[in-house]
Amino acid sequence: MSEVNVLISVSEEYRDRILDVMGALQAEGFQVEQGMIEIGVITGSIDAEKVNSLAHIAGVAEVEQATSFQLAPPDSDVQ
Amino acid sequence: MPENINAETTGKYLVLLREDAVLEGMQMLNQTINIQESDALLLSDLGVAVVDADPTQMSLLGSASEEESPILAIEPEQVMYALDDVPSIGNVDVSVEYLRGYQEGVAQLINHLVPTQPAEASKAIAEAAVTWGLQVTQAANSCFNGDEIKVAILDTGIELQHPDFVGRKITAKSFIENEDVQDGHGHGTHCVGTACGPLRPSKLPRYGVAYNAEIYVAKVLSNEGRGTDSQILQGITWAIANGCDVISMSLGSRTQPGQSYSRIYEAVAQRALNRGTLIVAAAGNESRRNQGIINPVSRPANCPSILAVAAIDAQLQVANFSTQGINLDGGQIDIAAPGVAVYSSWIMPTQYRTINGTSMATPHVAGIAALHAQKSGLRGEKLWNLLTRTAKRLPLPSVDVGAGLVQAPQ
Repeated sequence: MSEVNVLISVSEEYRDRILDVMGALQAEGFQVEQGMIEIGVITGSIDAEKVNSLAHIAGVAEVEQATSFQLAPPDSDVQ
Repeated sequence: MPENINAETTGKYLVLLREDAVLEGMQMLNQTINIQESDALLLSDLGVAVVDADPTQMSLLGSASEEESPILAIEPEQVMYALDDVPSIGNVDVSVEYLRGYQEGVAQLINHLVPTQPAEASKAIAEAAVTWGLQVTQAANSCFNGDEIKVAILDTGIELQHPDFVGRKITAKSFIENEDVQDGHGHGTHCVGTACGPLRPSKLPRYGVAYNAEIYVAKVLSNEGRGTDSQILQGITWAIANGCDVISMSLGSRTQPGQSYSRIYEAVAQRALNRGTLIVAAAGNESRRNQGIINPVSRPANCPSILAVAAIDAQLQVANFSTQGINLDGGQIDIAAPGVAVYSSWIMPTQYRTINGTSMATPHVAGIAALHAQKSGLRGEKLWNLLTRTAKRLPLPSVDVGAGLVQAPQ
């Protein structure tokens, strides 16, 4: 079973209860990496198979797979 | 559109009065041209008077006003007509003048798009004192400098030993494990330079827009130029928590035609706007227009609530690599800025470098947003609207340049 990195946006009504949402996520097997109150986003990881269960948790508005960015090498003409 | 040389006038004049000197202006009108009250209609809320006087009387006003004059402008009152509906094809009744004007308009457009002489097309802009980017955006002449405005650059960090930044107050934090904010790539230093570089760099030309802004550097990209969503989001959070007014993100990942935008970044950007923080991001470099390749706006610039910046060159043409607002679901270009042959700071010992990219266009907008924020006091969505409203309209499609070329306040 592989783990995926996930981004979760907390719904407006739950933004002041972000810790509760984090607790509920952890109960589902979600490993919290960051809880960012100012923007209402929780990042972390979970088994790939369980990702779909996250959307049903109270306070979870959006669930997306985390991605990464890569700049062109320093000597590249277009940056 | 050709000028209408036969504007129909009424014989009266519109006089624009200084808002705080309307009565003074009316007195001046009375004294200088000796009009009776019945000859002038004063629209006091607008600060405009409609004056019934002859040209001789009006010319007296011109010579009477000086620098602190309550009279700002005078123009002849024109007659206005409702516009005709556009006639449907097949039943057109237009004058010869209209057709000639249209022909002239098309000819001008063709001349613009297809230069007859290559030499004319590449008018080089002298960059001895200040970069072309600061010139065409009017940042070079602006009397604003970003004083007390906090600008956050989320990138590869900053060159701490750069002579142009030594002594400048910089608040910095690294979100890359095992790497400190010292820039090991160059990209971050280049972007900080464009957004906030000094008025008097150790070497000319000047290359920085908001030279008095408070610089916040979040290292969200490693020295190899790599960063994760989590690191970028942490950088955004940090910037908002620190009360930053503008966040500049010269980073993005390729999108596919038909791909929608990230709901996470969109929620974040909306929350940022509500907190008075404007997020500006690079539209992406995935196009190769000379090969017929045009790609959609990158993630996360494709979010509706993130100001997506396209790149133009010194001839005010769209850069070869600049993406386009192809995806109708989000994915628009909002504004354009200099992104070709952009000179700015780099890591030592290289110190300065000229490179291309929507990454270079983005900090132009961020710096100019800081100038507008300083002048107007506006933030968030209102600041966004001010930037797009004051952009210089270009004779180019909005899917390529949005509202046009960003302009600094004067």
